[in-house]
Amino acid sequence: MNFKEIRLIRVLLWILFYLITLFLFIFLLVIPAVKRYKEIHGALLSQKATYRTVKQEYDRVSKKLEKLRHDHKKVIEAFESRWDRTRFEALAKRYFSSVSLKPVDTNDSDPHFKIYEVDARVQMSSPQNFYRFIDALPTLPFAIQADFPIAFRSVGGDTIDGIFRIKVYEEKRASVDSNASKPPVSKR
Amino acid sequence: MAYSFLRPNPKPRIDTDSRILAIFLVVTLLIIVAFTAFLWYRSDTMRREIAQMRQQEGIMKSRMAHKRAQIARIERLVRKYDAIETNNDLLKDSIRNLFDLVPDQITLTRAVLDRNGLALYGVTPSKEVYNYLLLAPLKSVFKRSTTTFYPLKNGWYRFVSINEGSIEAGSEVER
Repeated sequence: MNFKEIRLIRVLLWILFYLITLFLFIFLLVIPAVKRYKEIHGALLSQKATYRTVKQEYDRVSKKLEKLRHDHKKVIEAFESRWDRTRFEALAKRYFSSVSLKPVDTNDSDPHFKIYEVDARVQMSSPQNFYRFIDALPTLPFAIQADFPIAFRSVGGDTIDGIFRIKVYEEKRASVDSNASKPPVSKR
Repeated sequence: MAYSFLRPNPKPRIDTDSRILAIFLVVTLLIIVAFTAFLWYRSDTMRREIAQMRQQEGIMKSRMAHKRAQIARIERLVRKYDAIETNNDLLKDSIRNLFDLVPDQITLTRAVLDRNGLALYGVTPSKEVYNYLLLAPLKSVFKRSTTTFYPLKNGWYRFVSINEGSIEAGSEVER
């Protein structure tokens, strides 16, 4: 065997060693790492899709809530406000010559609302005053429903005695606390 | 005695071919190891990203449930408020219609509206005026109307009219 043949064999052995080492590294290191990368990348893509869906839904719900809060601010405040008969009397006195209130009942059976029932005894010069008063109820920061029984009686001259029942709806505090993200407005 | 002008170099432990191949092997292996390390690093980053996204997703879901409850609450309040306003309008219209029913010839002294009916007290110049001008419209509104007349000294009549039937206002509209 001459020197050239020995050199060729040595180079061939080196190449063989190189290839074996290369394959070993590829099989033991690269392939598991690529496999793991692909799995995690797939999971990431799927997670991103889920996240995007949840985020879109979250944004939609948030937007809807903000819109509702903005559009119905007055309604929310009306139910969150605590019943204040002084403010009610102040409004009623704009339409009636005299106003007196008599609490009848407080109904607590509704799961969401506490209902104060109050009898209002008023004096007016014409039924028009009563209509105008009913029209003005939404200007008050309370949810007030005029209800039966209603009685009108002429007391001579141009004066009419009127008795009617009002129901004041107040949202129950527990119901507010469990739902609201902000503390309820107290008008007391 | 020297046979050459050159001084002999010591024979290298590794010949040139082997050295080149060895360097090539080492460089290749370094590249493979670096690539593998990069993949592991990226995988770990992605895994952290997934964990972070899942956490945020959980927070968003929980907030969303809270916001949905808020929406349901506001919608309930709005429905209730609308029902209250409708009731008030209906009640106002009922009373307005009632007073519109009463002709100028008849004077009402008292009117009591209940959910189940209406009681009217007043004075009429004659039974005929009452029957033509007030009883007919009352009968069209209520199921049953009963009237009692009491003659007055001046020839007029005091009347008490009890009308039974539901009045379309009040809590019936509640949703």
